[in-house]
Amino acid sequence: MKSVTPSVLAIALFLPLLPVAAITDEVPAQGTPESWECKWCRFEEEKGGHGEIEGGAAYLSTDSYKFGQYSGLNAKGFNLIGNADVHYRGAGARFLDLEITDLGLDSRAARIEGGKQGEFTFSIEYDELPYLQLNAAETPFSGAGGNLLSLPDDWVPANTTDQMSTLSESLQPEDIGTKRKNLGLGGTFIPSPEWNLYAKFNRETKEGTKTLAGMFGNDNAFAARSAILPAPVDYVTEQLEAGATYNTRKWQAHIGYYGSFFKNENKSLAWRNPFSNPPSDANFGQMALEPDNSFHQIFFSGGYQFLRRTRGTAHVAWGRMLQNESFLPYTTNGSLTSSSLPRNSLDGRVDTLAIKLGLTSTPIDKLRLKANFNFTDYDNKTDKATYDYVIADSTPSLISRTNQPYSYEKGLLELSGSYRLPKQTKVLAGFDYESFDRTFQERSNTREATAWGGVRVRPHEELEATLKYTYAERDGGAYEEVPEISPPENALLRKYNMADRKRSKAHAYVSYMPHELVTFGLSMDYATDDYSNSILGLTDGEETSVTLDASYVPREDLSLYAFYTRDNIDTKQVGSQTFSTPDWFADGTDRINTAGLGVKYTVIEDKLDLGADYTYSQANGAIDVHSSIIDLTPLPDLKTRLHQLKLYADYRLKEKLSLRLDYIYEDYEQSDFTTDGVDPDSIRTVLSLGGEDSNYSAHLMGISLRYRF
Amino acid sequence: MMRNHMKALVLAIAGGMLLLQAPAAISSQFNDDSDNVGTTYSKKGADSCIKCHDEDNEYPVFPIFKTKHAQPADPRTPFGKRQCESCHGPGGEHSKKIKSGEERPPILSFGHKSVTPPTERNRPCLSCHEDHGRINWKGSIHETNDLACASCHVIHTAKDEVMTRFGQQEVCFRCHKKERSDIFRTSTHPLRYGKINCSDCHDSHGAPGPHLLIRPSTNETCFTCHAEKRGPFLWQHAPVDEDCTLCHRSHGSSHPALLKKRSFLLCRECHSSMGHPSIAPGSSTPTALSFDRFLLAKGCMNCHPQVHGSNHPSGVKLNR
Repeated sequence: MKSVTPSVLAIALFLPLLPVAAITDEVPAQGTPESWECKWCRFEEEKGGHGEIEGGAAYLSTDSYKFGQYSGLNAKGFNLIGNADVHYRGAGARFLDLEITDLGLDSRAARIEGGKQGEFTFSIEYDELPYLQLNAAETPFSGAGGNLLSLPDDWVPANTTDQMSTLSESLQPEDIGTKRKNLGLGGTFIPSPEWNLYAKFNRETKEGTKTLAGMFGNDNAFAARSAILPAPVDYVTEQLEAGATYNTRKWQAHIGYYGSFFKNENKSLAWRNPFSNPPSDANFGQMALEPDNSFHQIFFSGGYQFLRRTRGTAHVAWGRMLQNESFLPYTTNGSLTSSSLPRNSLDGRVDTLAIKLGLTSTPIDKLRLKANFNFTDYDNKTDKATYDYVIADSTPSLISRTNQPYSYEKGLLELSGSYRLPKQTKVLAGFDYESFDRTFQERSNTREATAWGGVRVRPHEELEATLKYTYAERDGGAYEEVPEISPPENALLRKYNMADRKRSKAHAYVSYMPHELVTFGLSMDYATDDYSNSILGLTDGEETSVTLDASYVPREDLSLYAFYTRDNIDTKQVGSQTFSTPDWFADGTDRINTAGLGVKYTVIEDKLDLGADYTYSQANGAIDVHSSIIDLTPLPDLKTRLHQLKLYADYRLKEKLSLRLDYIYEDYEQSDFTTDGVDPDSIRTVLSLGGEDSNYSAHLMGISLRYRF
Repeated sequence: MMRNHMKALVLAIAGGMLLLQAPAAISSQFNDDSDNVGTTYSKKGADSCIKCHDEDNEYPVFPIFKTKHAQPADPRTPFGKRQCESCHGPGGEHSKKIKSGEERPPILSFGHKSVTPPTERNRPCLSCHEDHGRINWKGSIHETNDLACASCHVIHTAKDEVMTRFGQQEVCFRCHKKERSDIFRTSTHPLRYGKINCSDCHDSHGAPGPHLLIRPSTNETCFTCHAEKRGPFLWQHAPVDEDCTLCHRSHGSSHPALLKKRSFLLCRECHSSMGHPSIAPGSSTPTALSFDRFLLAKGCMNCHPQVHGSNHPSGVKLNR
């Protein structure tokens, strides 16, 4: 793919501006007049150490991995509350800030930042993030966390899970989840007010387990067998960014480097086949885990004030993705293949280019014009090779396959304008055009034209409203079968990211303030996608989101709010079980209700504050699959429901000491036929993990003292 | 390669912009935008202001001394320049003595009650902050929608809410109401735990990526936390490399792993080849096994776990 075109376009877009690019730079007022003593300014009072430190304990009433999914508050019992927010201001603009949050939890974080304001800064940060995916999953495999999973010595393989005679006695509980630990360092150096040099680096480890299915079998999917495995996660990701910025009133520039380096401590996962069939001699399987990879990017960002009312911006980023992990063998079962690999590693490389050019101008007060041009190139330079692969460590494939190094290139032009009419009315309109090229896929080019218009009115100070409507049509070149894909897709299928599409979107926002203490809001988004030229695949999508809001602030010490959001997500898709014309239809209907209300009340000024927030979230997902020729089992609805109540009281015991009480109640229920009651032997051909259900009802009570200084 | 009509369109725009420069050049001579502020500075600077704006005033100002703006030793800050009037403009008229019953001349104000257009209100901020983080502010969606800096930021406070762990979401959710409901879905990024913030992915001041994403593409933004999915892999899954949001909802979903749908539906939107991919979800034909093995547990990922790509020589079907 060539990337010369965008450069030409960029020059063309910006060339007309150059002859008139001379304006005088406005010089801001510099220095403080000597007569301005600022004797009442509180510079001195704010010097020294200030801040607050909080310590206490919180009691959780129940064990629940779902409640503490991202906080680590998952076990019944006491937890430490520890937070700090401390600032030190020294002479000559020196400063040091310390922030600690959730010291007693697995989600603890700390950050120190210091330096001399206007000259240099440095920062160190540390952050932990747990993710609890499954509690007490059941697996007969031992060695979770490593890259070899074994079965008990007395394991008796069987054709299906219900025939595994030693399964129940072999099951061991296994918690599935990960923990991230991130250490970051940063610094800035400001040699002059115009310059800013910066560098930041972070190293994040992610350790634990995740679920990954290991399959055995051949091309006949009904003969395949698989086991859900506790796969190891032991990642290290390092990111480095360094750059320099130069800023004047008239122009600004930012140049930098960004690098990201991923390392996986486990290159593969091998596991023993718990099934006897298919092939009984496939005793072990081996899977490739995510390979080490790296990404380098150089970027430039700039802004130029051509005229007082015309500004141009540019962002260009050149990147390179690299991956060259050693290949595993086709199979660990040497008897299945005599072929040698065409190469020992991929030597994968993708060059990326992103260009974003923007121009915004206000030629007269009322008129605002904008033009943006975006270009994205994902240029896959990876070599092709042909692989005589083995199907799931079980059977040599009858055909070979050649890798398809997909590339794409996307250009998007956006033009828009707004015009201000009397009485605080503004009309807006725009037109976008996108051209999207892909390689090795069914459609080499799609084009999408989008037109939109809207109006924003404020007829009275109390009422503000925005309406916007967007219409887009996408079409493209011929949709053709990709010869390399085997078995081929049904010729009537249109993949939705490349299919012809008519999209309509509407947005409405109204804010009404009938009284200065009361505000009502209405927000609505509606979008519909019509893929009417798709005979198979996704044919329709429709999403609506409506929110009603109200807030009431009767006094400075009392505020109340309430909201309700309704989200509807409807989709229609069509399939062909007979691999011919449409014979089944699936309608997805998601209905989500979210409501909240809350109050903040200062009962006694500087003494007692109370607050309460309640949120309710309920989702119902119906899937209706229907057909006139296929017997179908109706699918149960998927349901989730969450009640969350948060209460707090903050009582100032002394001038610097406060007592804080927190109470959180959450009640969560889920109904999901895909996992509820699915034990390791429930699916005869899939040895699954089972695990605790995620429902919970939890009370969290906290008491803490907060010291301010 | 770009299509020719795309090139023609861009050239046409360039021509249009050229024509626009004529009125722009003229208007720039006649339109001085500083018509909302005074013309002379006060006699005593901040002391003139604090005389009235003390703790008992409707608009107290003292918390600003807890902030980095009030650092006279840093010549870049307002208090290293003309103190309050660095941002509020010359306050000579506003601070002078007035006769009883006379209306006090206004001064540039920033709060929600300000009648000054957002562009004017933002000018003092941008005079210092149109640096690398705000290079793309002008022309960005928030700027176009008439947001002022003070729509989200509070300056006269020790801790600007939008810069805090939970406060930022509250500020963003004032307008982004669908996202407020999304974070309560069963599958979501940890926003409501305070472990991720809107600004970890989005730059509200204008950004290189789509949807104000911090990196030039959606995927590059996702890879800042999910670098293991970057590859490139030997066996790529084409939509994965194109856009994560073809399959995932970034703010929250009722389906696991932030997926738009269950895999047995989602995958079949693009896969219909002969054999099991074309079988209707819930079908008990051609074998009774069709129902549970394709629908329960991890659905399609019961056998094809490597949906983000495989680097195994035998991983063409994303099962190794």
